[in-house]
Amino acid sequence: MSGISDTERMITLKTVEGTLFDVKSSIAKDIKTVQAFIDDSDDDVTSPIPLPNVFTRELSRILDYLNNHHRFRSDIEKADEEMARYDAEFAKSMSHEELKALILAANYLNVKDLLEFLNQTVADVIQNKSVEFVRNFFGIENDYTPEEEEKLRNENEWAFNGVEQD
Amino acid sequence: MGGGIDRISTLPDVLLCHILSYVPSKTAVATSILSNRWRNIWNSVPAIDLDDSLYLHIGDYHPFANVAYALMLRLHATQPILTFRLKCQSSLSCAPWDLNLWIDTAIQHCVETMELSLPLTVKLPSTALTSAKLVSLTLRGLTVDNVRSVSLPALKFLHLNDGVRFTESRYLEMLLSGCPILEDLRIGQLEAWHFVTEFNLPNLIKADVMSVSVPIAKFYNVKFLSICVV
Repeated sequence: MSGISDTERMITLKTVEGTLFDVKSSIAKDIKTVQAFIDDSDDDVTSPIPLPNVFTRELSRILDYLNNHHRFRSDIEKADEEMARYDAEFAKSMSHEELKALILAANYLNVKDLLEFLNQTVADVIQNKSVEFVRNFFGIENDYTPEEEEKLRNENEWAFNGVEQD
Repeated sequence: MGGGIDRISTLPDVLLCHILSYVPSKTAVATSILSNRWRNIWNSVPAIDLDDSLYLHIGDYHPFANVAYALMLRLHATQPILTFRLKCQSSLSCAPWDLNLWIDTAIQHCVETMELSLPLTVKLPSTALTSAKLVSLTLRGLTVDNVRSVSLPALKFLHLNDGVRFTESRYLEMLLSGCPILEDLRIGQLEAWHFVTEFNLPNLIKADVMSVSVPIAKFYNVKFLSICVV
């Protein structure tokens, strides 16, 4: 209700490891899973909100991302440009394993913009790569027999035209 | 074998589909070769992304149109195409009757984001401008002609790149007037712009316009305005 105290309200989040993070309520709004928890609570949320599926490393990265994006959005001048530069750095700073872990966390927390950005990043990584690269990236065991694989290639031959063979 | 935990395979298929909606359909279909689990994931990807440059090396344009039809005919009636991207370097890849049918199909499957990058000689099918669910429309290159009516009640984002040609400036007026809730307008160099005066975009938040003769008064209400005078 009261404008000023509302903007300064802090929410505490607790990761799997028990690390506590204080988050502005304006940031928490972008974390839909957290916001739903707050909306469903009858009273003001004062105790830490447990996040049983989110690890400290991922939450810290997600909060970094959201804080920076909020900051960019408040600066009209170069918002798009700086955001694009930050996003590119953010994507580059992660290993493939970190990227995948972050997708899981962003999905669980339901941070829509970040999830879209991360999925786009994965799409960029796997494009024009060999089948073996993509299998490695996703940690997939090939459970096809050579005959099945051959049959699939023939079924949609056009899709494999130009794809590097391993 | 392999070692480590296959964490990403524990993601729901819907998330893998989301990832595949950002790659060309050709790549999405090729993921069927990864493993049994991936065999049919591409079938549920809510996007069609076609680029004729990925097929032109095969020979003539026929394979490209065949692929486009093959992808669309496979779709279950209830399967949405939320994103439809079509990029053609050659007008031979998108004959008018094919193009009409592809865009109609996308609209029937509730397309929300449409990106068309087509040669200047190709005309935009009029059905593309009467789509109830379309939220984002990006046009590159093509020609807009013979506009009879525009109804884009859900459109929030309109991006007209350099090179989009309106045969008459009133078509641009009709387009802008047919987007009542438009929030984000980006327009490259357009000749048609010079004569446009009649439009009203009450919900516009952001405008990025490249022109010498912009009716600035029309953008009185926007929060972010960028005009590049060339």
